[in-house]
Amino acid sequence: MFEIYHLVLLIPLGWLLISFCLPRVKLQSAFTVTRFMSYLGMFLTVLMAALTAIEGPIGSSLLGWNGIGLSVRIDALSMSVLSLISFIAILVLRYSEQYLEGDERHSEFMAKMCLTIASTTLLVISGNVLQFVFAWIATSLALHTLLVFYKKRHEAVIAAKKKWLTARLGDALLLFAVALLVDAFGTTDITTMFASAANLVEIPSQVHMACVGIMLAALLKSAQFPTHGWLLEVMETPTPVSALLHAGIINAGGFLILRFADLVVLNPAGMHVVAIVGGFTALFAGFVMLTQSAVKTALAWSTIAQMGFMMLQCGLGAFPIAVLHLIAHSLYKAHAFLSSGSIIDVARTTKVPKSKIKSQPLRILLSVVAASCMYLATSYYILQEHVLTAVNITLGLIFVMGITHLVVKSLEDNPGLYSMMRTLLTAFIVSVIYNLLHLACLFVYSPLFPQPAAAGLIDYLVIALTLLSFSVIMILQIIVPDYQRTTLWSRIYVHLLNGFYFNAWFDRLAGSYQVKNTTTSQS
Amino acid sequence: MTTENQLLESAPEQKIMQKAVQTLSSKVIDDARKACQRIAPVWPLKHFVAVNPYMGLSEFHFLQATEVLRHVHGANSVVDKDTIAEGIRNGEILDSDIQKAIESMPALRGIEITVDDLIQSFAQDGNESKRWLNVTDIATRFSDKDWSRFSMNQISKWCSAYFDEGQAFWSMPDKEQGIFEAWIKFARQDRTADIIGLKGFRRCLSGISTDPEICIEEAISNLCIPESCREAYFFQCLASISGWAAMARYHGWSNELDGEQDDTLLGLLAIRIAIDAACFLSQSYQDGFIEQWSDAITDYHTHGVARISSKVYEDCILQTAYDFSSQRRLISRFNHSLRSPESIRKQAQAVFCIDVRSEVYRRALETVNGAIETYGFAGFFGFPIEYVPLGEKHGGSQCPVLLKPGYVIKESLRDADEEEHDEVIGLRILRRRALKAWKYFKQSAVSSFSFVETMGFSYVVKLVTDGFALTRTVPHPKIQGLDSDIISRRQPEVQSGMIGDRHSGIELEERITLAENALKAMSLQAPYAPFVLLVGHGSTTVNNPHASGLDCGACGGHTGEANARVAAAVLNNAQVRVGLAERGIEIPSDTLFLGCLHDTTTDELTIFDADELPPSMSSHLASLKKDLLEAGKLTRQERALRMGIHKDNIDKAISLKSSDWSQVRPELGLAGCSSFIVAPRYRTAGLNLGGESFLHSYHWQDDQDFKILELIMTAPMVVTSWINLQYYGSTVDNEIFGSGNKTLHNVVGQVGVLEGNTGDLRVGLPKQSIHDGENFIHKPLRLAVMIEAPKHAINNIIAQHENIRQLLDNDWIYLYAINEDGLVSDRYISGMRWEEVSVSDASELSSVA
Repeated sequence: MFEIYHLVLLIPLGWLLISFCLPRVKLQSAFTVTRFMSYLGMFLTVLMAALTAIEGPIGSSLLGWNGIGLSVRIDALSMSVLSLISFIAILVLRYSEQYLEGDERHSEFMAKMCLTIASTTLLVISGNVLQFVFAWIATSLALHTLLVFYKKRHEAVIAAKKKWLTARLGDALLLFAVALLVDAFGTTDITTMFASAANLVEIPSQVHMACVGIMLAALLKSAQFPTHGWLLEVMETPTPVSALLHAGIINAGGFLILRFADLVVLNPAGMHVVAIVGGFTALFAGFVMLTQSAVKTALAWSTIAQMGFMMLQCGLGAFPIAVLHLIAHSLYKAHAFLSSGSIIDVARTTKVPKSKIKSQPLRILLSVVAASCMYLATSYYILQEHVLTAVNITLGLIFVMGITHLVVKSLEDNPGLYSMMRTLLTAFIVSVIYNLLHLACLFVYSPLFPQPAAAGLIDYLVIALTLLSFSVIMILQIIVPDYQRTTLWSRIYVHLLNGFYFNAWFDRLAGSYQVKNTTTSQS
Repeated sequence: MTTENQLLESAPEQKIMQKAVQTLSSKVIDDARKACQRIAPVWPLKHFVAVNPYMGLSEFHFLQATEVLRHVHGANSVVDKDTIAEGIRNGEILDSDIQKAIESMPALRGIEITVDDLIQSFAQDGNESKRWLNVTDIATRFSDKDWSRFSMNQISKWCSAYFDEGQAFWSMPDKEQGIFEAWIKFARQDRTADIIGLKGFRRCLSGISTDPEICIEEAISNLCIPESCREAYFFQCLASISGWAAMARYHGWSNELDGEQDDTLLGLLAIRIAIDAACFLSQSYQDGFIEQWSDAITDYHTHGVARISSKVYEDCILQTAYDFSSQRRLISRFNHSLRSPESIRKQAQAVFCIDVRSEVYRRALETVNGAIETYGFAGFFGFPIEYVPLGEKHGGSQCPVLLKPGYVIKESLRDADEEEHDEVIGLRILRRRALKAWKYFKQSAVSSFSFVETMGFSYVVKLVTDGFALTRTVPHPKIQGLDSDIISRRQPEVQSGMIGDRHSGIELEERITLAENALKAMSLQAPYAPFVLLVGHGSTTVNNPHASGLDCGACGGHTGEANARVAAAVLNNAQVRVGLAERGIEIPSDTLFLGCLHDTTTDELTIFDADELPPSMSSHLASLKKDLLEAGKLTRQERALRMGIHKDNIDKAISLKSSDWSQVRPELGLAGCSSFIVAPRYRTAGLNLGGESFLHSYHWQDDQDFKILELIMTAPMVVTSWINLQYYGSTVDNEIFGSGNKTLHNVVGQVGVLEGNTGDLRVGLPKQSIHDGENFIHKPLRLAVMIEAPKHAINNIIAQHENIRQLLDNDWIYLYAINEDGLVSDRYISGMRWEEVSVSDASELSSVA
């Protein structure tokens, strides 16, 4: 039965259609068509977002048979992510028009981009699990064709192979989870599934297993430790692909957990694992990133870290904030990749005399105090009662650490009164924005997600662990420059630069350095 | 007693032994150093200047170098066959060109070739080139692991960190210990080899000396490399990591200019050899390994420099024929009708950089207003300066890289007292500090999460404005941190002063000398016009890591603005003019020198420091400005054709290219450069040289002792050949001498680019700079230099300069002489001998044309 909500399906279908047409038309017309589609997509997205803002979450009927077919789920989450992807699509396609000028397979490239966008948009509006899995796999396969766009590049093929292996494992896990869910709930429809999940008195073991499958698939997809290796090398393809990957497709993992949050919360142990893996990845990748000197490689490490932090938020049950993080990070990272050629200009504009002052504990302490005050004052006024959950306090404290870092760095070179005031003002503004955005997110997304249960002992342990490790890393980060000349540091540095060799293990597993023997060695 | 006696007896023996060991070892290191000299440097991206990739091979003939590069890199060094085939088909390359090329080649024993043979054998594909192998190549055959790729990636990973100039937040420790020591310390800790399954590699490294020279010597003896193959082996090792080797060579460059020895590259060579040695130790136990390795060594032997294969010989003939055919067409365009113009006072004289991009603009300007005379001169105008921006202590060297800057010039503010200066500088530093702190906040381990959640959404706006070319991705470094009213008041400070603990500015006496030399060298003809424009050039691009490569090479990869303004300020100075008059150069009091900047991306020309003119002059200036605008428009129209812009609004399309963050071909750069003409402008005036010629103004009649000619041949001629050969190399083999696909570039360490996620540092130009997707926008032609001067004078200079003689005698560039009729009359063959350019050449052309 056709409903008005089904109109949103025009977006993936339109992109799909275009991707088939593009190689057959002139390049200039191809640009016209993709521009038209990207604006149409944005328009439809805004329309649907308005609709859900008025009507609340909507699960459409199924266009299909026996649970198999197309249906859409329109709510704040899917529309936010859809807007994000439509927006990124406008930019990366526009960027590709000039960027690949003269490439003999330019229109083929555009077509592949469109195909990837088609499957990603289909994924985020999925109203049933089969469609979800289909789009999930399609996205990965479409992306694969982009990653090996230059097939002759040996490095590209190897990197894509690692990605392929991880993705297929993720697919298998998700298929497994979906099969269990369909079996347990007797429906493929997501909205129905969530409704019955809310009324479950006792959670069947299939659902537990399915949750585990979902969470593992999500961790794989978002390049979480120790399977992050695949993301590090896939810049063997033109920059707009990296932008689309890091700002769009990489979010599939986070989106999976958020989409199935109603189910995932049924498995608290799994949530704890997600939180710990995510938190660890965030720190691990963030730390390794500091040693990386190639701009795109450093950005890849940064994405891994950011995804880790989002997973941590998911694991702690702070789903609304995780949505904020997902979208905000994507916007930032899209720009970072597309503008990665400006790094020389950036280097020249931040050239200042090096400070020779050792970090002083007193100064750090003062910074902590200043940062805490800024945060507490602003969040007390803005967030009010929302601030008083364990999770929000945790995230708030991590934010304070971030601000502390800003203050410490600003005050590094014996600043005058003016720059001190300026720093404090910056910290204040940043705190205000942070709290306002959090408030907005809680307002928009909270109704969508299950309310977190009262925190138990294990929750507090996870929180304590998180806070402890984040503070250790923050302090290390401030004091390491003082210990650069020690033997211990030169040793650690070697391993850090290598990302503690997890990628080397991955290389071994994937046979990256394997060659076919040309000589019969007699050994 | 006995012990003493023994000592006495044995002492000389020991000494002899020691000496023998020392000479042996120092010979090995000498060979290593020689191999290091074969590598051309690459400049970091912040001042990416053109370098001749064949620089280290110029002592070889082009033929030999082609052969060597085939073995060392597997590189191709000549134009591709399709181009030749097409040239022959459409009559561009004539049989006579090929015949001439055959005749011009050094005779080779056992090879005799006729034109027909060549065209016959041309259709068949030659045998594939056989690259010399090193130990890791052999090991790859024997194990199931790709040792060569492993060694490349390990070195690249390490060099990315070692040569990093501040990209990573945490820089590599132990750098100051010397490159090799730092590496071996690192490599002994690095577990990568163990993990990916290269067993024994790290253990074998522990047996290797921490001294680079000893390491090389031991490896040479362990690998059983005979003396005759040593240099070749070293060269091959360096070639296998040629990008990083070029960066290491750059680090030694400034030391070498000072005449000091720098061992960075030797250290890198030791690293590569240490990997070979460790690989050998861990793999050579396998049956057949040693045999294959000695086969490889034999290859080094037999395919030495001496023997040139017939394929290379044929290739080089065809390349030469291709060069000749293009030169023939250029030569035929010179004609008698162009006579020296009357020496009446012009409305303006404009001195441009010799850059090929100036040619188009100069022609346009002359078309717009015939009363404007143009000149060509190296774009630093004879003022080798280090230009220090506001708020900094050191600046870039704004002079050709063959020179060292002689003067420090600081940027200052017009009409500002010291107090205001300090205030502006203080504010700029403060803003940069804040920006730096913000960068830390954005990218550090914990704070990056807070950053994303607060500032992420602001990128919606930034993405839109950047995406639609309304804003620049980041502020331009030149103006960042300055208020808009300050920006327009920046100017170079010529007066003496201090910057940090160094003197800045130029003393009066030196100013007079510089001015005198500049005026003479640029052959500026009296009477001087009311306006003399000194036009430097620079480019405007966004999000382009190779941006500085489009700026002025004569200004060391910077824009020529500062040099032009300094030159103009010096030449306008009353005291300098008095000094010049004393030395016989009279400049009319109403002559004003104007520092200008030609934006080669948009072809707009900016005049600096001309705000306070007497009213009589300002109306003239206004009309001059109108001419310049018109000339810019004409230039853009011509360029639009070459750039394939078919839009109605050419000006808008071109200006968009300068602000579009996704633009990979913002301008043509120096693509197409193929000749360098040293003659008065009237010899070429009216000829459409298509933006393919460097033009240097020169009147030999005014040049006593041919000192200026010597300067031209030793500096601009060498620099133009560097540029030409950079484009040449990037075109004939982009994999080795170019930087590949720009869309994959990954800036590393703020110094260079990787293509994708790993591999060697890439040198040279990206494919996009030499190819437009359908056709090459640069034709791989070796530079044809045409000089109007007596042959004996040219010969004298060649005889005095070994490096010039090598370039010419070894066919890296061609040299022609222009006679007093303005015709290209003679071609330099080699060894100071010339041959007449036959009349038939010209007539053949007319039949083609």
